[in-house]
Amino acid sequence: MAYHTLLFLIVFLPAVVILYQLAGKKFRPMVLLAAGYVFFFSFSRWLFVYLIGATVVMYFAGIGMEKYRLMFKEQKKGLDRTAAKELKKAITAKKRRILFVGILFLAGTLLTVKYYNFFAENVTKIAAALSVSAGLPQLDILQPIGISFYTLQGIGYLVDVYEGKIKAERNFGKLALFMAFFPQIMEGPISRYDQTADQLYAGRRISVQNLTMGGQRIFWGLLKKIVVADRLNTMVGNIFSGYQYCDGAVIFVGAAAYTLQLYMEFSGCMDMVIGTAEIFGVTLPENFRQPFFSRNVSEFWRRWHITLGAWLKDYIFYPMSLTEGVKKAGSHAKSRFGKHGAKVVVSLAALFPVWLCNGIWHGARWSYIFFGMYYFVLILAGVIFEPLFLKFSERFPKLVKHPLYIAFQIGRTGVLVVIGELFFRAEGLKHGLLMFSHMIKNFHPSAVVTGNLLGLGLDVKDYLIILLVAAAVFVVDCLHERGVGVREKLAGMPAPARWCAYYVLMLSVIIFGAYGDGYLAVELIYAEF
Amino acid sequence: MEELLEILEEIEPDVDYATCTTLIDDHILDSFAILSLVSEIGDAFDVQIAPGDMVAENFNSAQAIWAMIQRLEEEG
Amino acid sequence: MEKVKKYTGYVLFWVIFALLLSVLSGIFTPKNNSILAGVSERDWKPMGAIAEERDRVDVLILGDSIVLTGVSPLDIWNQQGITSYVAGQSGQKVVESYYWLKEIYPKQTPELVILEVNALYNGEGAVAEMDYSLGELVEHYIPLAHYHDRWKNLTKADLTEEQVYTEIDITKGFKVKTGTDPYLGGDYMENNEMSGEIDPATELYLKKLTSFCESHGIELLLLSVPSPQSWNNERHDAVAEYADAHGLPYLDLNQMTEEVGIDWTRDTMDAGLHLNYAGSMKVSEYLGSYIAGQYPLTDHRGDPVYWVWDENYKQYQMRLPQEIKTEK
Repeated sequence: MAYHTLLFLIVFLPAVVILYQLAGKKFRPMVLLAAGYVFFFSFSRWLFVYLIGATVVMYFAGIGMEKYRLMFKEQKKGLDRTAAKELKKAITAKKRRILFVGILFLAGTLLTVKYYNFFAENVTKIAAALSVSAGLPQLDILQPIGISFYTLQGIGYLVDVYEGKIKAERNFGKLALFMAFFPQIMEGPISRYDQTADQLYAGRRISVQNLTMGGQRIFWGLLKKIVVADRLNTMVGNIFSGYQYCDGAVIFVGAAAYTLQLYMEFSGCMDMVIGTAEIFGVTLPENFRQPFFSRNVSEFWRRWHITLGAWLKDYIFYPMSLTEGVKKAGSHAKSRFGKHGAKVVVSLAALFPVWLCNGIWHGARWSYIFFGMYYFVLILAGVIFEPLFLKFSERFPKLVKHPLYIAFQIGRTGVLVVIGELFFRAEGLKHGLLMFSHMIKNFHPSAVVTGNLLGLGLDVKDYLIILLVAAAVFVVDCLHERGVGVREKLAGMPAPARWCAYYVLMLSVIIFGAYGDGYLAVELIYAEF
Repeated sequence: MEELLEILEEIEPDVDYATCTTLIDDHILDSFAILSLVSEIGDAFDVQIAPGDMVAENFNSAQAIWAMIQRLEEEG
Repeated sequence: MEKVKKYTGYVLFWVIFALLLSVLSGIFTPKNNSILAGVSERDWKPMGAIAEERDRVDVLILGDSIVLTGVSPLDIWNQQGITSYVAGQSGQKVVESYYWLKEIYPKQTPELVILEVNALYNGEGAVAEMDYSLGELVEHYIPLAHYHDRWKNLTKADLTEEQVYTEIDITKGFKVKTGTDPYLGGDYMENNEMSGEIDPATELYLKKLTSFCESHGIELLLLSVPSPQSWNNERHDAVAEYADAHGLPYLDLNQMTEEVGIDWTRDTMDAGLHLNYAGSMKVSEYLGSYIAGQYPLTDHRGDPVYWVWDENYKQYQMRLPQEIKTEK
């Protein structure tokens, strides 16, 4: 019952909307919670005990940590500063123990269901290489839907309570709803507790305004997903499975097409998700901000899958760079190599775990780890050569502000991203590397125009419609980049124009969608992670 | 406050810290700038800034940073 | 007043949308039942039943590829004079059988509908089938959703021409399959690897199909064409239970392969999933005499109105692949 299926769009969602509205303020959160569990159940059946287990652990760990926080507040009164510090230390240690157990449970579950087999396989391989006849058996473990997303939300909650950023939730239902809001379950966005919990629990009435704005965004997402992403799927699949027979330029087009597919698919799904939440008066955090206007890869990652990047920054990058060891290494480097040296050292230590996590979060495959390391190297190189760039821009202040130079930077970032996605999509790291070298060695730009692209499952009309919708998305992205609220503008137009726009949008999805006879249904890509 | 402004000047010059209230929101201070800021503040004022304090509200203006330092000093 | 205006607006918006859908559906629906006109290969055979002359088909057979390759209407015609038609498709699900029956019914008024019940087991799980059934429902009422991909080759004629179905399938939906790959597994009904559970959406449409037949005075027969790879006791029992509960006859030829005369070393094309031509002849012969004995169906042979069926039978015999002709 993914967000783009009829069952969700014309049965489940309307049913939830009606029940929610009828339920009245007090019971609305319960309707949402029940809807979340039904939604989860429809994918993973009884595996939803994992989700409930995670919620229970969060609930008690949160209250436990809160108890110590209050205890500290109570006992600190009348103590002098040193004694208060001592007390804080003692109590923090206890809180930390609870945090540790909580995270161990949440992360442990994720690691087991998602990575155990990968781990076992590699242990067995290493053992075989050392001619030791040991090894771990492969287990048949089912992965509940969305575990990669809700686990991060759960860990974020625990850390936030530990640090006193938020208060522990004493209402189990509210915490459960935070973990199981149905639009977010499959693909995120990953939200922090203080971002969504109160809104979810508010039980606001659905207004016509919410309904139209949400519906509008859902159809925009459907257009991206069903017309463009699903249409590209066959062509991308053909190039990636038969790259040996493709020209390098065609491979590059394939990798670019995959990048486009992923963007349309994931950002389209986010439009549907955020639009659905909007119907219930809930504002979810955005996951994309026109990523393809980025001038370097680190900016790209601040604009693409934003909530994952933010999570890694808050819960991996900062804690890592604030550990004693990293801080010491930083000040040591500062005294020997100066400020820039310190920055390089801290980056090295804090960015490595961030990008390792980013890569492996997508799944237990060497190619994903490589994908993470690819960005680690690129971003670290950016840090190392920063003084050079600074000098360059001081030397040529006019050039670096020239639109052509900016276009060059955007293009360069795009190419780097496409190469990254090539490794990401390839069937394993070995094929990724082979494919990349094949692309470099046999690169003939002319191959693209001599009709090689037409034997891949798409005809000229398919390409046309892809380009047309991609162009529409590009224009909308441009307007967003300039701060124009396209959706508000559209909703504010006089009725005839507005209606025409809505009709065109809805009919385009129905007519140009890549569904039905002759098309394979394409599952949501990010739901697999 | 004097001391804090000095630290800020050293990390990112050319910013009017007296008036600016969007140091984070406008990407004037990036993650790395904040990290060096945190370690400098830790040394200068003998306070521990935890990862949980790393939120935009605490770093958007010199005033906010100063308020955070005072709160931490009080908490010990 | 303001409120009335607002609500009229909402209603008007959707009314116009419905009108647009209906107009576009008219444009996008193929104007003929040929592949060239835009009918998909999968739909072509069942659609041929609509192209047949009015009220010619007395027995409508629905189901998936197992019945498509397993029952030959023209051989039943030749032996019993009963007019039947296989409106089957590869992988047909019961929800599709139901909507084909509804689409064909205005043109043909069969006295007997036979459902090959392997169609109950072509699903991919409860939730997936709910979604699929919903899709079929939408496509039935909004043909635009079914034919949307024709935007690529719409012509001017699509705007002006009426819809006329003229292309007849001379084999009446039957698919001749030559080639033999024996099944050597022995008794398969005891093999309980395949579950007999019918998912809720499929069961719902089976019930709808049952009550459609009931309310239109059509007899319904549940049938299983022999297929070692897709049938077992669990499935038999599930179907028999449904048949009992609804007072329907269920003819499971898997249980009577000896009476039918199936020889698994010769009569299957793919090691026991589908029958080949030889197998289908035996099943058609058995089924033909079974329905002739059980139902008051008219023998139309010699009736000049049905001359086309004789003609089609001759053409079908002539077009049989060479290997089959030599064997005969």
